[in-house]
Amino acid sequence: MLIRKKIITGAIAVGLCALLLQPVLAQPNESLSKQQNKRQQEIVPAEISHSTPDTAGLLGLEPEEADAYQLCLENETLMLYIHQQTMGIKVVDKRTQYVWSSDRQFGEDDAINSAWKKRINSGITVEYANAKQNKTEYAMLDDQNHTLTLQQQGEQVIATAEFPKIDVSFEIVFSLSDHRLSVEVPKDRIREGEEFLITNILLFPFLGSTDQNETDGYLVIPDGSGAIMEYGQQKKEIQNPYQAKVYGVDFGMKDANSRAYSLTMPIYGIVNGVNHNAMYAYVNQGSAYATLRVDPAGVTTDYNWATFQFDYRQHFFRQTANDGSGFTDLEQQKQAYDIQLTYSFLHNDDANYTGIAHDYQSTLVSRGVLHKTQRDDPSFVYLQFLGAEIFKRELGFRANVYTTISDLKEITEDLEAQGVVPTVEYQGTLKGGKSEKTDRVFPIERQLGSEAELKDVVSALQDKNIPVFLGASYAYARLDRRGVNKRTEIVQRVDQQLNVFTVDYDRYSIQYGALRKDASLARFEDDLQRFRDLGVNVALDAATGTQLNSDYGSGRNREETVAFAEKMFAQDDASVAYHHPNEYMFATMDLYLDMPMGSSRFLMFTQDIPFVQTVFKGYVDYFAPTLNQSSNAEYDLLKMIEYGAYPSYIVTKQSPQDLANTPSSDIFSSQYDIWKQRIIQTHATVKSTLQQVAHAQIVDHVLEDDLAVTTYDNGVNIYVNYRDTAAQKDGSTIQARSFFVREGNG
Amino acid sequence: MNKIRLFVLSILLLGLFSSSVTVHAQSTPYDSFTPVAGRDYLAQLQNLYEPVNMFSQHIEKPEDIFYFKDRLYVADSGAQAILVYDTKGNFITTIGADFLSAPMGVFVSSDFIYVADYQNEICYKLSHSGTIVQEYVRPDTPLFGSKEPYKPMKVSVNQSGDLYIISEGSTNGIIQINERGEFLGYFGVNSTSLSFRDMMQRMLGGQEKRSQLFAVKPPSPENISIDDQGLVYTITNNTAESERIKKLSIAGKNVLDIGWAAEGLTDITVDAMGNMFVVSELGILSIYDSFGHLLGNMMVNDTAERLGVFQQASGICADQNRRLYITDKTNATITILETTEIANHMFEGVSLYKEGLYLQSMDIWNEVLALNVNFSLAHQALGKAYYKQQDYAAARESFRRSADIKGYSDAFWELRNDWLTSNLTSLFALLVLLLVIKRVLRHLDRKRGIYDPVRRIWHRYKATRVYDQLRTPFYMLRHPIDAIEYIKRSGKISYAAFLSMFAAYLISAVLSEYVRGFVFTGNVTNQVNIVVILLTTAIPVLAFVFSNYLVSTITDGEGTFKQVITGYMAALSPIYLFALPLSLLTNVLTLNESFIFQFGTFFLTLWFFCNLFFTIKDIHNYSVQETVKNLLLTVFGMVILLLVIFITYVLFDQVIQFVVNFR
Repeated sequence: MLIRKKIITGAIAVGLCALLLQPVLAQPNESLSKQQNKRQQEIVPAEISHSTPDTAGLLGLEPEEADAYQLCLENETLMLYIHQQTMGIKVVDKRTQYVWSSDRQFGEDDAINSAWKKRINSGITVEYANAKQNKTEYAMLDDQNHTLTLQQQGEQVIATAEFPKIDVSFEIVFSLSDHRLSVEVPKDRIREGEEFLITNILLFPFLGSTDQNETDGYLVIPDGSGAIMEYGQQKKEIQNPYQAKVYGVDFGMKDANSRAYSLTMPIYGIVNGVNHNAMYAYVNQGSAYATLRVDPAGVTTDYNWATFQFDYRQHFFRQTANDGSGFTDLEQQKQAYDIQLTYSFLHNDDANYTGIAHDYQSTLVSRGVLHKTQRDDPSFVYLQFLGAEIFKRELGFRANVYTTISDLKEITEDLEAQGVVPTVEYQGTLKGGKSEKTDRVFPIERQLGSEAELKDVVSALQDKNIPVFLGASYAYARLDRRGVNKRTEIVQRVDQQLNVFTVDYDRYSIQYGALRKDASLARFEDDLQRFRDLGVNVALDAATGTQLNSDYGSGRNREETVAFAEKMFAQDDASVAYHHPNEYMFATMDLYLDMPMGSSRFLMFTQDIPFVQTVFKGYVDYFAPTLNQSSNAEYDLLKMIEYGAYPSYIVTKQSPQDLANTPSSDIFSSQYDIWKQRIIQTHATVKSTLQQVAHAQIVDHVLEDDLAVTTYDNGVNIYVNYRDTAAQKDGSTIQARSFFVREGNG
Repeated sequence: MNKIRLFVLSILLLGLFSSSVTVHAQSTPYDSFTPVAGRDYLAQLQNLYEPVNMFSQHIEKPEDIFYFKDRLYVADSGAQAILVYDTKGNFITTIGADFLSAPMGVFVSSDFIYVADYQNEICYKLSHSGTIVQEYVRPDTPLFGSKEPYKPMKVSVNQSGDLYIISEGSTNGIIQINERGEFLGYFGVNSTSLSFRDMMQRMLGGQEKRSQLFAVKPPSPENISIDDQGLVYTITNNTAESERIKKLSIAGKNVLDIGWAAEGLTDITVDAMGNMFVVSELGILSIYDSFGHLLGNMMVNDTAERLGVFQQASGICADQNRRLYITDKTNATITILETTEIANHMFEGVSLYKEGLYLQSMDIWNEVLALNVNFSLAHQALGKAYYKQQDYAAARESFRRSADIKGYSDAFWELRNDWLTSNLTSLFALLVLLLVIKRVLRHLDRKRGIYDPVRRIWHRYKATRVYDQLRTPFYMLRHPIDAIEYIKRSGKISYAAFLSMFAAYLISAVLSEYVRGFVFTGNVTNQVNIVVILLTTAIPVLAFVFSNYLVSTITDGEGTFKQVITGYMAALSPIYLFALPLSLLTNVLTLNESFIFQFGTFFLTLWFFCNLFFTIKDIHNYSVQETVKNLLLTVFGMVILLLVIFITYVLFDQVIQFVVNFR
């Protein structure tokens, strides 16, 4: 267990006395603003709920250690204790008596230095830079120089952490509701002096941390489809923590592109004892500046811990000459945003990754972010048709046609005759080809057919219950084409340079610029009426769905950009499909495309899990990445059946052989004649299997020794065997590299 | 292949955009490419391998890995032993922990385990239980060389028990020692190469540098492998691309011609079919077939601690299922990679292809092409299969797509042959008919003058100034001396003549490139780079004329600038009048008749040089000797001129960059 249980009865009285003697009212800080002073004066002296006589016992501490903790908030489910010097918290889950601690009691043989001890125990760690030098240092709440005051205000407790040495103070607001603890850091309550600049903060980094082999359990990381890091499997080859910005890289900050999956959900989970105790942290506000950090035992400390780091200022490389030389600089302006972080505590059957996914799902539903968009009669395959793409000629370019409008109709009807009712996306419709302009959908390339023809095909197909989407992208503009105002429409980075980049091909190159979100929105609104006229739905590409850049030209930071992105489809009733979208896009999403079917396989991850799938199953239909590029189609199909995802394909009428030297070089196998039989077969397999759970939710998922069992709330179990030999499970035989469906009881 | 390298490099450096705007995140941190035959770019490919697992138990600093009968033998210089694992990565035993100091290379045969120990300076022959059978120490024969180092890094052994040892800094080649420990000689020494830059540096440098001018030592090989037939494979860094991977015959001659190889190679392994797997330090995994065709390239595109990312790949081996095991020296791990669907098809196809079973491999290659339309070897194999089936049209198309000029030419020869046999009679009939018509027309002309209107127009045209300007090249063809005289004395020539000839020259240059037959270009795309052609044709002409004019004015040449420039263009007339027809002709030629094209080109060039010589001589009124001198000076002047332009450009570029940066 997490905490050594040593109860010394004599300590009770001592603890009680000590608590009574504690000064409970904060001294108003003179340097605070008037308004703040006023607010503070209104505060009723905190009615401290004196800890029950067995505080020490409850928290599993020595009485003298327990003295420092104060019971600040309590409801039916949780009790919140806060350490009066370090702001370390202990959350008692009353249902299980399990204590979640952000600090640790160190034994003598713990090999850890005092600096780390301070960082672990301090409820807040502030990283700051000297305004003159760029060297960063940490400020923690330890017993020297720093003060913490706790005040109760209604249902909230407000902690004021002051660091006089660096002239910085924060207010942290705690509140409880049901099984959740909310922690807020309001932006207008952060004070900083002239000399020291705050770069980032960590809040309760070690909440729920575990000794390397203290308990069975794992950390849940929403990388890709989701992954867990099981405790006790320390690997010497892991030398760095996992660090990933929520919503991926920020080109406004010149972040280097990462080839791992970007985090689309601001969440991480901790399971300490599978099916006993779990918690997860979720960023309600400030997620665009949150970075998830996961440290397995053995990397920085001997503990497994995970936390969000909240950035206020970031370092960036300021290039001063063309040869690439320059220096590392720090943002001068502090990003202004509120932080709201919610810790939810789960127990028993919910204390696992499926439980965390479900609780997160209910959070999203209650926030109005997640809706049921499933159709009664869903399609089990998604086809992306490529219309036209550019092709380099001796001089200039021409549009190479791959699938005309009538080809699309013909192919879809041909499939329909074989019993395949797909959802259809048509991309690359722009005059000149898909990459002629990367920020426009219209006008339509004449060789493909006319707009009127497209309209007829769309309505004809939609009458047959085949939804049609038009592929669109509003993330980048080609700067070597007209129609872009560099100064007002392209993202300006922190170093005042425009975010442009050039991609080289054989005998030509293309210069792109990342569009500001308002420019994206304007382009979308230009096209909106035409989408409506055509009666077509819209599928947004991955870049539009995932990229989130701060823009130093308009001064819009990443949080404000989120608000803009949310607007994008808010006013429209057309169906929208997104490729691998971020959380703020979920509210307007009808289909989820390119859903990751695995994690980025960081070495610290011990198993991939269907976390994202569990969140969406039963709400939104989701499709796996196109199978054309798959290296192992057989494995991918099994994975889809395990994860409840439907297949998607990219389809062209013509051979894609001329695409190798174009921006669509990732399409190297798409010709319908070649894929027809595969599409029909895969569709039949997926439909016959997943139809039974089309509207069900995943309630349990187990993967052991390459045999997976996914359980749905309608009682259906799907067994997937990845082994090369047949497997026995629950009295059934599952053939090698195959699957088996067991119907529910009722 | 230079462009491919640049492309690869840019991908590696940027790590940003794989050539499409959207970065597709993947579970596998690789970008895979296959070369597209006849084109200057690589096409994307599904991964041929996917990392499936990784193990690190007891591993500290793995240097080399060897697979033998379901066991992996790892030479670990950190653990100072040979570590033995099963193919799942379960640790089995340690060998030689009590006497090995720095094992760098390991080789296992059915009877023995061979270990190269760098620090002990010994190659050990051990029994499978780990006892020392024999120690191969530094050979003491004079043949070995008294100062040659003996620091064994890698070892391979052929079936008769001869050892091939790579020693650190063994620039003489691979040390070959027989079973009894007798030095047999050096094997497969690398060739030296001196870059132009090095040569310049040494020539211009001081006495010391100059003495080293040709004292270059060949690079020593990095690693070694040996196949069942006893052929030795080596990899070498810091050398020309084609020399980096070698397959050495028994005589020590390289029998491969590698088109592309990565830099910083660390290990090579060869499977039973002779396919080669080469890994570089940065984790570029290249797979070649036994002929040296690059099948695919997998490049690590991430630096994060993910499965499949290497910090310092040091060794590679393949088991009988072609599963790969790659050691990482810095991470102290061994990653297991498994073949993917397309790779399984590919290897099956390559095996059949190697044995010449083209027809049997057709289904497999079609499957490969279904998965990736850009896979060149599949097109080539299919071409050979179609050729065998006598489907020459299909064969020709497949050969075109795989840029197999020989195959294309053969298929075309067959097609042309078929066409000729079926159409020869009609051709003759047509020829006879044409002759008859010509006769009849001439007869009618004599009787009734039906050509008179044409003649009148011709005479009227002859009197115009346009004729004066346009006639020069044709005049030059028939009467070069008269034509030069005409340019010099008639006074009728203007710049319009130059412009018309210059335009004809440029158009002809572009068109003849464009219409040239595939056999003579190997240009799969049927595309030409107009800008490059224009620049490469126009710049030498203008530079020559300009330089010649300047040189002549100070060497008593009589010619004016106008005369020089029109004279030069007139001298070029055989080229721009006949190159295009010659190019058109190549469309019906095969490799068998390539001499026609080569001779034609040679003849036209010779004709041009003769013309040029007389033009310069007569226009400037030089003697033969003076003309030669003038021509040499002109060429020298051209070089200087281009150099000056280049330097000016560089300087101005600096100024512009300065101003831009100053902002």
